[in-house]
Amino acid sequence: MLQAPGYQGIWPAWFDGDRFWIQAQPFMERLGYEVLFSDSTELTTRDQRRAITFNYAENRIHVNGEERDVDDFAMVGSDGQMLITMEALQEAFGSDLVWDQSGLTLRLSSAASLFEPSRFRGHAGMEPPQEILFPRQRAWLGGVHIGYTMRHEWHERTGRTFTPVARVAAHVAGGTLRWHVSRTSTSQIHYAMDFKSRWLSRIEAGQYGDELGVQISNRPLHPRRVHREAVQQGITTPHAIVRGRVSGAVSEQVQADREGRYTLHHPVFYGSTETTIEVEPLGGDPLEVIESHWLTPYAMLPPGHLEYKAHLSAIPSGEIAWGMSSWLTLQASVLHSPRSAALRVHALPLPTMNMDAEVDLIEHSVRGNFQWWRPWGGLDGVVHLQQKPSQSQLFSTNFTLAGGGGNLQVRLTHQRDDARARETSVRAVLGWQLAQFLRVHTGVQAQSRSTEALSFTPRLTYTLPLDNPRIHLQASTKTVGRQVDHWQGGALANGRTWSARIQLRRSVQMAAFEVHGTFQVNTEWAWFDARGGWSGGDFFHSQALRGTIMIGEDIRLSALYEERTEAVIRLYVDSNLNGELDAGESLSLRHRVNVPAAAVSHRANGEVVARNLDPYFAYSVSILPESIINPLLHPATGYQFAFVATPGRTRYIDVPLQPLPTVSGRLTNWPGSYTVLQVQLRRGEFMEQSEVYQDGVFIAQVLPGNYQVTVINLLTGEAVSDTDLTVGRGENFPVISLQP
Amino acid sequence: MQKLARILAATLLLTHVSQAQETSELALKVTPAFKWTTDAVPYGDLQLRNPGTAAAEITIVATGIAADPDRTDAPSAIGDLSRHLTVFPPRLIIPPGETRIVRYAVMDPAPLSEGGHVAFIKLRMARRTPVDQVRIPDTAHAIRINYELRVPLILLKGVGEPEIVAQIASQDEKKLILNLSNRGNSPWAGTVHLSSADGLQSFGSGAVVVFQEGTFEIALLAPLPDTFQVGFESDLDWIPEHSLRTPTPVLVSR
Repeated sequence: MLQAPGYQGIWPAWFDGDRFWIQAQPFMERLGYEVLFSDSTELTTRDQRRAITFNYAENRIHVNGEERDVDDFAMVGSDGQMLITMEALQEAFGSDLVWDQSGLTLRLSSAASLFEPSRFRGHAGMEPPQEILFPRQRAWLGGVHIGYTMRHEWHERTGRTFTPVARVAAHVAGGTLRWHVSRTSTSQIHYAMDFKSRWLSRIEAGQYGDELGVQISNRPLHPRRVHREAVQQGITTPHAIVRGRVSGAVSEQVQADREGRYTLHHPVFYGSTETTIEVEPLGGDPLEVIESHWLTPYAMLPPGHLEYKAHLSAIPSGEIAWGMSSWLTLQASVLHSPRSAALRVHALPLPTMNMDAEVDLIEHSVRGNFQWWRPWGGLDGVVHLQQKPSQSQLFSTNFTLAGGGGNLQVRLTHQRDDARARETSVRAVLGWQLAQFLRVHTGVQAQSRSTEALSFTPRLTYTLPLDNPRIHLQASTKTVGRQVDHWQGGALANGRTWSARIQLRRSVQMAAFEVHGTFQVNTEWAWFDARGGWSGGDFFHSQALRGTIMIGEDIRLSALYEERTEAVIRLYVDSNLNGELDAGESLSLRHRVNVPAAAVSHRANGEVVARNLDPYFAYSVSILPESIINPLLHPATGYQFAFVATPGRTRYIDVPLQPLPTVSGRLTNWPGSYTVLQVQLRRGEFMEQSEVYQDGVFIAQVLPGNYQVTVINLLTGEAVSDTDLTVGRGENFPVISLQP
Repeated sequence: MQKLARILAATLLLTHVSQAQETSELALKVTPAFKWTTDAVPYGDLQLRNPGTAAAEITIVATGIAADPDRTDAPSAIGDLSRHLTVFPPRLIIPPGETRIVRYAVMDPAPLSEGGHVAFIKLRMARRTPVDQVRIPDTAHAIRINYELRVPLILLKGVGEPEIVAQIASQDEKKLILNLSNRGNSPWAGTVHLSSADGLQSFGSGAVVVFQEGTFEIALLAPLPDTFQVGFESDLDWIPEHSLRTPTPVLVSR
């Protein structure tokens, strides 16, 4: 999770068993840095405060000319891009950046003045919905994604097995056909049609287990981002400027009234939301900052929403949920086999706490859950009481604390059922980074009525100070009472596109010895995985290859997950202004595009690829204006627009950059203020509106052609002038006299 | 350079124009306030933010550096970038609290001569009265004050070689006022240090930017000797290395 001013979202990172790595260039660009030089071994960037160079070959970081000392912080990724560690980022940014490894959150919380918030306007939830210029595509015969997994296994006792699995998602007859084929299980086939209606979003028919059936639902086709709009009211210094921020981005700015009252609105996202209210009194008094956090589980529906899902087959089932208010959601479900009829309540008693309770009327069971979360830790608990088919009780609570270089987790569980007597256990786990290369992980478990009454599991990880490959040595043991249960040791090595692990285990109690090894190669087009081992005199090994073949306008190989899709955005200079990518028009190479809800990569040929997209989700795209060299080039789509990720095919989005003619017109002979006028340029269905400046000037950028120019008086709504104008290429300077 | 950026921070927060009905506040913030670039990246943008409570009408004009009539070595003078600069849009309206981007580019930097080239991007700001508050003047137009911010944009081609001459303009016990004139082909920005001729004792320092000529005041830490040294320290990490030479120290005698 990346929390930067104006942006909160998932940022891809790679964990090598010890440290987290991110792609340096797209990350710095997202922060608004200008890239001066970039190749696989060096990245030089700057903004108004910092000039930062990450040099992989020399293993050095320079910040404003000063050398910073970080050991082996960089490596070259599979696509030739430089990867850097979170520690390197911390060294470059100092206190402006906080990496919380236990919370997997990278915060740029104190960097509001450093990073220009407007660069992050593309926040997925914060930004106003963009116009969907590229809607859901439907076709009789569209693209096909064939996901495949081929696994070969050999076991000394059972022999050889080969398991091919294929998952086909085809864009057929306006819907999506999914076919799952496996040698070891029954093949499954479904056909789904999606709709935009509030009461019906999907009808799916196909094979469910051994039965044929139909499913209908009005659930959204993709996960929601925003749960509700929150209203925060307060009283502060009279006439102060009050600014609401959500994850750093300004959501609303108001001025307190003469009594100091203010009202702010902001969105609350699913998951965690961090809001800040900044009170800036007039006259330069110190800024007052009020922080608050919100926690919203996905089980909560937006207020007023009703959702259902019905499954019609020999084993029918159904579910209905209603967002009764912003803090309460009711849910009911019935299931034919095993028989169940349950009522559920999801509630938000506090902004940072959620609770749910369920009663099953047939099984006679009660289940309760609560979760309380703060950025530095949390507490959650579970209660489960069941009467049928057997009596059981479970009470469990879990406490976590994270910060600095460590984290602590304590879990207390008490359970009882017909088969077992009462049992209580306590488990505490402490993880700590002792030194730059040394990490300790310790677990202690105490359990009543068990042969393993008290167990202790320490683990030590040492990272060799090597650059490539990264090698980690790990040793661990487990003691039960005063007896040693086993010893374990191993090594993990990470290269640029590969990783390998070997593990040795000596079981003291069983006097047995085991060896396990794995090897992986991850490329952009497929993943390969090989495993092998020797355990108790038995040898085995397996190999697996996984990837996706995408057949659309062309054929591409990818390592995408099933049910994921991708989009290719291409910007080109539309020199003949016809809005189409013609043979003589080449792709723009220097432009930069953000898709805030997705990870994008810029290819050398100018294509911008957004991978791992949720089908049906509307992704907003923002083109960074500063990356288009010619300031007179105008994207025909505007700088921000949205597209819907199409299931089962790669989406190609062509954006023409047009050298539009400019109209720098002037109105004359108007007796009053020119600012009450508005100029409309019409050509067929196209209309461009332009404000008029105090001196009568109006500015517009339109395609060449003949236009009807109407001047409107905004105070009366009357047209005060109607003339014809021919717009030619280049600059146009029409003068329109408003009096005959 | 951070100090310099702060000094030059183009923040203007002013004005209550004489018309009685206009009580909202007009303001404009421009980022960056000062921009150095090279012919490798001859384009960029300015972020204009309106932190006030009134809509602002902005008019943008780029002007060059005025030619020094005393100079005879014109080929090595600081260049006028405005003639090569394209800025778009030339006008815009920024509602209160909002940000807009103005882009600029030197479309063909190849013909530019070696050295520094300067354009001043001037942003003239005027209050835009909301349509529902506009009154048709019954006597005459009230006085309207337009404010202007100036963002210097310096493009370095090849190597910039500032050549700075320092002269004492005036002096008292607490401060020294220096006239700095630049005879080189590039502006210079950084910190000026006053020290003894052997460089061992410091008498004061301050951040400065010199285009062609400027007066510069330094608070004195101790009384100055008859002869002292004026040293220059470049603090321009974002300019690619070696593209701007730091002027050599000069000795000044009273």
